[in-house]
Amino acid sequence: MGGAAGAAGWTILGGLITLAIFSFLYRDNPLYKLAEHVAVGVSVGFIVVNYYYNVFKPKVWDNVLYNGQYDYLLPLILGVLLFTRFVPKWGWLSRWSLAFLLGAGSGLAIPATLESRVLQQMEGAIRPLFQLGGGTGTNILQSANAIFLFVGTIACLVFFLFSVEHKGPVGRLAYFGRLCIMAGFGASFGYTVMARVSLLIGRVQFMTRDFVQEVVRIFS
Amino acid sequence: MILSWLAHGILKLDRRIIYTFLFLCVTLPFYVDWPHIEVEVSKEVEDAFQVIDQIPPHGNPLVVSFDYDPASAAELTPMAVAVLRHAFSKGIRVMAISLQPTGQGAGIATEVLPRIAAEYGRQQNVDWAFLGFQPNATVAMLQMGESIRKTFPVDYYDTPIEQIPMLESVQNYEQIPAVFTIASTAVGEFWAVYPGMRYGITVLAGLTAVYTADIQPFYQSGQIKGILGGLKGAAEYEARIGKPGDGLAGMRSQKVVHYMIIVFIVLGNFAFFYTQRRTS
Repeated sequence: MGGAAGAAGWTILGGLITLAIFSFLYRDNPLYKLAEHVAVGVSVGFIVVNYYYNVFKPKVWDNVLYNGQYDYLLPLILGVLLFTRFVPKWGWLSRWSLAFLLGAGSGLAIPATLESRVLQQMEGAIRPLFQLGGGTGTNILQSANAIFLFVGTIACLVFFLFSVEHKGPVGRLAYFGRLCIMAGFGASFGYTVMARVSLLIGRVQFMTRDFVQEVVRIFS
Repeated sequence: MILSWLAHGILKLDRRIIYTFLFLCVTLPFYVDWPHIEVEVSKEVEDAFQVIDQIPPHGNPLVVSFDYDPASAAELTPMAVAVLRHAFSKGIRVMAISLQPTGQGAGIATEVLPRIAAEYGRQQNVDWAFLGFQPNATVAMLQMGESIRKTFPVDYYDTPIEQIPMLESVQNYEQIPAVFTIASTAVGEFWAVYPGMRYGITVLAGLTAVYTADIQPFYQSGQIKGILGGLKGAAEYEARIGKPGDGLAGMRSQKVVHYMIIVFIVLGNFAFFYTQRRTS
């Protein structure tokens, strides 16, 4: 469907599918099932077509058949070998592809992750402490924030230190660590609630603005 | 007696009543001018704004990566729109890509990008270009550091990249002032972990609220220079550029629903502990 009529048609269809999905809030029903299956089918169909036209055709088909770049056959063979898992007798061949994927993936991920997720963040947790005594209010607040972050990090690590009994100062620090972890969970939960509500707001905006507008236009 | 009746009533409350309350709390603020909303721009959003604001107009392009799917569009499209409006209003060129694994982000980009560009009279391939989708995000990100032309030989519309005037001088990340990833998955983090570490690019992130708490340490350590977190982040950015959109429009509903959730949590806890004490 194209043009204004097409856009209106897609809007109406989108609205009806939204209503069908929301009908599950009342109880499970065939309309919900239909909408759910359509969503899954369309998603998978989109991915297959997208990967064919944007990945397989330009990267493998065109390169091998029209550009004579036969080295692209190697990844193609490795990809095909993954499907041997469906045949128990030949399933072991898929391990070659998996070994390549694991090796390349680990080689890429381990140094970068270690640098980014561990070393950089350790440095980030300590570095602002040295800004203490800057004189202005902002610096004092930032320093207090940095100290809290630093102490909180140490406390969280102590909480997971099981080789020392959590008693006395260690116990108090571990308890503070537990509070910090709880605060972290609370923040994550709060963000999650906000995210889910945002999705509902988006749908309601669509239904009350676009869908209703189209329905009114059709019936008037 | 009344308390006991109330506590038991709350515990037996039909979930459909809660859904109805939720629906009303989301919908009514669109029609009633209540409650009043004052959006304060957070430091994370201000930092993101400053990075984009300082990109010279009509120069090297800002990379906007549509790394999300339609399921997160309600949260993330408002921030994509806000950032694009900011860039186009200042004459900043935009080179859009999509590395979201299923490729659905590309579909969103083809809808949002031309629409916002048209608002400011910006021309395709002169002021903006959409290079399309690449699978395996980490490999594509790292390959772009070597050569953007090899990673995206043609754009989404099959135009060879050599024929796109705004990308004449763009070879790799050395010509890219900043990357703004709009992500609902770990792809947002990958920008900081892989090209951020290896090529030192400036990474800004617009993330779903669920993911924002996870990414916060990257901002704190300076690996990500600015964050827009969820619909609130989009609303803050809209307020900062002075162009209200779906983000600000949704914040009123967000506020009412949060009040409602707090009230239900308090009531639920009261009912639970009250009946527990009575039975023990």
